[in-house]
Amino acid sequence: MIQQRRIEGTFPQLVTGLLIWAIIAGLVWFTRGLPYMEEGAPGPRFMPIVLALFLSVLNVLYWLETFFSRSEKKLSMPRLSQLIRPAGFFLVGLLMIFLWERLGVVATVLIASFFELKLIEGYSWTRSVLAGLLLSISTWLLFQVVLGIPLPTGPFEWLSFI
Amino acid sequence: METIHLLLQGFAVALTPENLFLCAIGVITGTVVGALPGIGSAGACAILLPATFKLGPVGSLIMLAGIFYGTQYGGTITSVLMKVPGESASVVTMFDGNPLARQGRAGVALGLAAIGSFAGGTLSIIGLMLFGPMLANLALELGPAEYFSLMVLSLSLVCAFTGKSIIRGLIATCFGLILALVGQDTMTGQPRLTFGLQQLLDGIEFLPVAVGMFGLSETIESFEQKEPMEMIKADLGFFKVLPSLRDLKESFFPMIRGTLIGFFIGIFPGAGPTISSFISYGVEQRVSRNPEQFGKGAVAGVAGPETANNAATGGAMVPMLSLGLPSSPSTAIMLAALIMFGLKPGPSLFREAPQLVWGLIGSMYIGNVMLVIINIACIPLIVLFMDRIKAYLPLAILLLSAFGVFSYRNSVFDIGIMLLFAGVGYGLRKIDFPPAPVILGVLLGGAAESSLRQAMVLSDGNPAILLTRPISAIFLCLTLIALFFPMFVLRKRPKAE
Repeated sequence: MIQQRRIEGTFPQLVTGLLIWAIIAGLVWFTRGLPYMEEGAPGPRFMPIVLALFLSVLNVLYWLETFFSRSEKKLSMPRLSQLIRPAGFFLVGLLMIFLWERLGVVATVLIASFFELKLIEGYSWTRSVLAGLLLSISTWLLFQVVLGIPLPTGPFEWLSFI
Repeated sequence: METIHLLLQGFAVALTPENLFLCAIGVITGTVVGALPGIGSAGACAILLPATFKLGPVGSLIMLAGIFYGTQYGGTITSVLMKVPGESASVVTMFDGNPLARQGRAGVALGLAAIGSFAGGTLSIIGLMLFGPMLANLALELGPAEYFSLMVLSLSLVCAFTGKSIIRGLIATCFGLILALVGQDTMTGQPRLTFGLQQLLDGIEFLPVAVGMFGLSETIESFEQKEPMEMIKADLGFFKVLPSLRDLKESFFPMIRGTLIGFFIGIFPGAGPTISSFISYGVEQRVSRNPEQFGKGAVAGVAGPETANNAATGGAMVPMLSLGLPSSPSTAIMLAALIMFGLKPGPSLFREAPQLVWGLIGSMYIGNVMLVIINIACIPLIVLFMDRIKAYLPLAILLLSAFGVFSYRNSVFDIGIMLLFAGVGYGLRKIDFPPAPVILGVLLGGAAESSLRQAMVLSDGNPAILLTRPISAIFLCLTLIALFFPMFVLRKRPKAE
């Protein structure tokens, strides 16, 4: 059974509520230049204001539910050590975005696959490199050749002649 | 007679080699996805949606629908053999399926589940054939006010049935509706909440949000589990999964009840396969002569819920096709596919694209036949395949998601949006907010706003039109009932786990 640190109090819900208030404020502020009604018809600011009002009421109810409801359970947040692998996976995704058009998809998939399999999953060098090569070539073949989707090639322009 | 004629035309469309092939790909993918914990049918549909663009609307919908009902078959495998539900609708199957497996009857559990799924899936398609056109004709009477109220009702039902708190569900819905505001206002063309970014002028696309929140965020969450899942070793040869006559006799009425429960529950937004399977289990336990057997390997405890969860897939198609309202994230993605092909789901779809609708219905019959054969004859192969690929699954999901989202608009920005919403989806799960209402809010937000503003133009800016139009008023009353009824019911008796 995974040990999870049970938080004392309702800190996550408090922060969530504050974030929602920030969203409401942002919704009202960033639409301030738009008309609410135009010649008797709802304008582009109509729906944002309706949603802001509705969300305000819901946010109050959310906090009431959090702080006063007996049936409301405390949230179990994962430990920091349990977040390492998810965070690593997310960083691999960011790396892919960074390299996608700079190096082209083949190299990007090879590098991202290697990082994911070696550093996150903990497989061997050989397995990570071989699997990375297989995945990069097969994804390129599937999407570029079979499905005909033009993919960035970066410095590997020569692949487009195949 | 006309229905039979249309159905035969639908079979003619579904039985073309191309569509048969796509149906097979869809149901096999669905079975594997359903069997693998970490990704659900919505995630798989979202990830594969871009790959279906070249297939045309008929092929695309046949494949996506195959994935949708295929996952209900596949989810049983891990529920029975590993006590881990591959799909949320297979949670209930664990209660009696796993004990049956521990008694050396894994094959019987899986075989009964496959037969029940086939029965539920096939019979529910009959319901779809009868109710779909009927509802589509009724929908012609709906104006903008009625449509807006109906969307409010749909979104509220999703909140009422999904997640542990209606308030959190409604907040998640509002979040989705806010995301739908981003971009150019459809009526005036003015940019709204774009923050000066050119890429946001067309709005936040549904696809990267859906892929991120369902496909990737589930995968990220699965990284938190480190313990390997133990699988019961069982002989799953062909003759071992065929149930005995006695088992079939015990399962007959549970399957009939499961079909009815699943189909009618599945029609309601948010209520889908998961709720249907739980309700079916509860009903079987109540009507059984041996209720003490439930939880210890009762055959009815497997047959009923498995039938119900597949019957719900047919029910879920009814509002999606006839009203243009998705009742689940998976049908939301199918709806998005139709919109991307320039088709307007709703009452006009049955008239303007009968080949698509009846071709889909025909393919669902064929798909269910394929699934029962695959699930009875090929279970050992599926189990072996699962064992081999699960090591590479998270990476494969990331790559397929990135490629799929990129292929939609050739934009790296969309991959960034996908990753952002993967994080958002993960965060929402941690703070106990359901992601499904967000997706539905994004998909329906634009249409809901247009309908509301059109209704108010007709009433010279007076929102009372929503109450003065009788059908609209009825929908809004039903909305209040949907939101408040669970609170009163829950106060009186404790919530069943």
